[in-house]
Amino acid sequence: MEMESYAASAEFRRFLDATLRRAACEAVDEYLSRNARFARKHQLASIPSVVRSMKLGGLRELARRQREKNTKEANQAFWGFLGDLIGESPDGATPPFALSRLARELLEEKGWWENEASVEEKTEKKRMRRRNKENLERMMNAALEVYFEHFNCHYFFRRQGED
Amino acid sequence: MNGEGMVALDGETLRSVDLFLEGFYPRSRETGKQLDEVRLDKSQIRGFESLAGSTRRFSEIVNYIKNQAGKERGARARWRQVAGPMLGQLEELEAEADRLASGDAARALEIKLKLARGWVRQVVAHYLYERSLREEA
Repeated sequence: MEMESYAASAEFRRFLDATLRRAACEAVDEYLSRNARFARKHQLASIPSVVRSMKLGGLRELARRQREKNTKEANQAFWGFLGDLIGESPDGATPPFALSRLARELLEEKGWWENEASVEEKTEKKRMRRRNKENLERMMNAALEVYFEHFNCHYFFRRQGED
Repeated sequence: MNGEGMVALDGETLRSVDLFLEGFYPRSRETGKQLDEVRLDKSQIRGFESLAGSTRRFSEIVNYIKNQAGKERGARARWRQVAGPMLGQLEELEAEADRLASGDAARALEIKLKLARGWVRQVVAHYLYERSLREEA
């Protein structure tokens, strides 16, 4: 099955509905347990529109900009955490609930992730890396909106009664 | 398969869904009663019912409840009082759907939605009934 048709499959819709929900809730729970002070809810307000209009690149840029321009430590920590959920950390460094990790695992499971270690030739290795990166971005973009819908709603729910 | 990769559920599964919802009815009634006790507006309940009827994703129903509870401010805590039990009941429906689907992803999605919509209909019907009793009193 090609990636385009997989995105419309029941298996992928179940991934969005259940697997991503569990992971995004776990991410929020982890953020709340790891910090003593939290980002206020309005910090999350721009996420859905950025995700819809500018996809992964836009969200990465938003996380970077917010981390840099925010003066409150709690907000900086939040955007740093969010950046890790969609980041490109070295293998094994991304948390199990991060979207980037889940998307990569799904690509591996479906046989769409190429093993760069299996080739010696530098040019081919480079091509493989580029294809892997492109496929990872496509998979993440297909799941991005729903992942952050789960993330935001669970954050609001866990922070109910607070600003 | 029909539109958007949905599956038509067989008669046996539909019967199992109905039987499960019959057994669940006392708890749905209790939830409907609570929604009236916390004085949720009819428009909010109609909005909830409408979302459940139109969505193609079970988790959108879960997220709607979380969002409503999360955005309430100060003392006006209506959804907040009922969100926990409602989410607990949705979890039970999801577990039942997974059991009935026996690992088939497409069936699990359809059953979950069917159970959730049936549950929402039960809850809303009882909310409206309780509300009418209160208004008459």
